[in-house]
Amino acid sequence: MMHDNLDPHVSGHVEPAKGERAEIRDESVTDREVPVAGASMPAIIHAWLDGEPVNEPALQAAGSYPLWRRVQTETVDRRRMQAPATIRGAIMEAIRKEG
Amino acid sequence: MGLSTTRVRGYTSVVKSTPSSPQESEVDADQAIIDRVFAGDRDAFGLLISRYSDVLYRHAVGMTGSPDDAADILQNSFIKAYQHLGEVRGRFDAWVFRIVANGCKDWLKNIRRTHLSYEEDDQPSGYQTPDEELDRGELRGDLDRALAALPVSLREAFVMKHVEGRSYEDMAELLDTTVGALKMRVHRAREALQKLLEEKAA
Repeated sequence: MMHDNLDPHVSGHVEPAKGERAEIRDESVTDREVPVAGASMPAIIHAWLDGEPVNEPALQAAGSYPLWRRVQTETVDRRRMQAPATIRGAIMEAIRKEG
Repeated sequence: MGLSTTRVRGYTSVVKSTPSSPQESEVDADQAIIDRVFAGDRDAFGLLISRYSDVLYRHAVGMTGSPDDAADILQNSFIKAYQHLGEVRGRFDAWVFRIVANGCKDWLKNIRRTHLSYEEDDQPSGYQTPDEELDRGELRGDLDRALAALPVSLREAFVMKHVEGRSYEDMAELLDTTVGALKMRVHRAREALQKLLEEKAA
């Protein structure tokens, strides 16, 4: 019975070039539902952004709090964004043309 | 829709008025409008457009980074929704959301953006001082570029959570996945965004 040699050094396996290896690594990271390796965001920031009650002095002492406070202000501003006023008319016009 | 911070005994939390799952009465109201359309009142479809266009537009802008393309996706999606209105089962808002979300994903597959734009508005913002307003413009651009660098699934989760202000439960229903998986996506999106924004600032 023949067996495949699974040793990558002798099985004809070709190591990807440096750039290819980086792409492969990126793909695998995007598809897994796992924490990012070396994640640096304090758990208290995640909890606050998720709307959970957190200890305020501890929150404000967290390193990335100023950044996320600014991001949060910006994203909340974007919640006021409205669709162009003309869009309803344009859609209804297209529907009427269809008959 | 809005956000405020509450403080109770030294604890603070972001309190959000989020578009959670619609009440049964809203689902019934949507169905009543659909029934009117099928009864020959084609203009009634405009009520559904008015009801859902803003939140869907925010999703499309968040995903594409382009208000013009977002408007095109929204328009095409509502026309498609009208053409297939007989296929609605259950929540109309969830059904039309999926059409828009798929439109955004198709756009992202086909278009490689050369620039990002974000239209200024003249509405008062949450920023208090002129310095903060200047800072806001820079953050907007940096955030748009960082969002564009995220994998689609992470960008989608972040936009739904933070730009649309949805609950994890509503997101799970719309995307047909679990709350745990979505929390993980949002957390990973935040980690990636923080890394990108800190690199930009360095």
